[in-house]
Amino acid sequence: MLEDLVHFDGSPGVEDVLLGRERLARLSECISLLDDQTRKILLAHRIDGLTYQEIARQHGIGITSVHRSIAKALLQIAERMEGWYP
Amino acid sequence: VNAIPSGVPKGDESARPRVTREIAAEAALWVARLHGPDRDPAMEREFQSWQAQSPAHREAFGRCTDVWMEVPRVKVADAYGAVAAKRKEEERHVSRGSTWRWASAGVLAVLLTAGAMLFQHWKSQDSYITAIGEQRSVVLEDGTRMLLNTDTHVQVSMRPDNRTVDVEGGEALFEVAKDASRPFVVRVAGSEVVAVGTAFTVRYVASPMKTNELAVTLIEGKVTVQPAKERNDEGLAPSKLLTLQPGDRLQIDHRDSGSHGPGVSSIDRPNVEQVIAWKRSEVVFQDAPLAEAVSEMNRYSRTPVVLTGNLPTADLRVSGVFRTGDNSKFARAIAALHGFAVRENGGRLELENVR
Repeated sequence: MLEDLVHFDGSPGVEDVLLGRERLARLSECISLLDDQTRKILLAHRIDGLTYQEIARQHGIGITSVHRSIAKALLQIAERMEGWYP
Repeated sequence: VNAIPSGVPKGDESARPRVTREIAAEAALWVARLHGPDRDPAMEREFQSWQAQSPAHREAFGRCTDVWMEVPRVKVADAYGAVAAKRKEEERHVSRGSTWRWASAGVLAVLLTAGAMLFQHWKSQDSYITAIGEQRSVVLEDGTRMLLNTDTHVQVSMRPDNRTVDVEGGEALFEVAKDASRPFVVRVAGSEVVAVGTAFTVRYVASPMKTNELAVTLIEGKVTVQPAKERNDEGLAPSKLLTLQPGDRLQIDHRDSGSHGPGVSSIDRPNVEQVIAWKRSEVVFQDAPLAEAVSEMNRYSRTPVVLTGNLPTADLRVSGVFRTGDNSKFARAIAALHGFAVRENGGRLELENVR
């Protein structure tokens, strides 16, 4: 049964459907503008799936610092994406 | 999502809440804390009273959550792209300084990969749960991305010859990493969805209005579905294998009890943007029966909207885009549209007829 199922359509499009290409490009840019440590911690958590504890251990910092870095990253990205205040 | 015909507007741009620096900073910290290891009911209560302060608080939290949700969609190379371009520019002037920075980006990639691999060994079988109103993105060891919607429970099992995810209930979006030697199987409500490299969603949500319904929507690629076995007088009969095309949604009715197993299945082609609107923390209704819309909104909130007995609900329809979890705005919009009153009563939002 499973042999029949090996069909793969590798055409692009998922990213486009799920999140506008333009928004994705802006998001990438905003992430790239973060400082190295902040970006490293954000991506370790959100892309590599590491827990706060694992990140804290890896960087030799406390859990609270991980919280703060994640928050700082989100804040700076959201500010640039949304343009909340003039 | 732009083509919502009528009904309740998404929100007046001119009335957009004013988010201050302070509110934005607090909102970002809340997102970080709520997704951290210290989350508990006390923190949730504290958060509830924080976000109850103003629409601006909720707006800031919503947008920070959007960012949190969307980050995994970014390709790591792109996340460094703009920096790289900027540094290349600087390199012309100071050719030495930027070299090690380039190198450090490479080292980071290696470190993260090593961390991820370490992670795999004890994560080969695990269960992932989201609370009401929560969403969670998970990257599995094979690179498959799994996005869990509110109130969802899945069990992941990675074996050398297959990859299996059991969905106990709720809704999940899968972007399956290609691996021809290991089929990717999602089992839900007795049915099996098999994919090799593809993106699709499954949804199995108890509904008071209808029978429980399993829905599988294919976004890209190809999947086959082996529906749960139907029970009949002769015993178990094998059910037909169904193949979905991109854009297809397969729906199978599940009766709660009784002598029959899963019932009628049908395939339609919904607006995929609407089906996965929850990814953006939105719910989209297009001429949906009010009772159905209410039950959908209630999936995301511990403050349920309740239709009281004196409402002529049968004829009422809802169109519009709403934020998941914002039941109070939803209730007010429905009330304004139909001339109902909203009454807060014991943690519920009751809609009642005042005419």
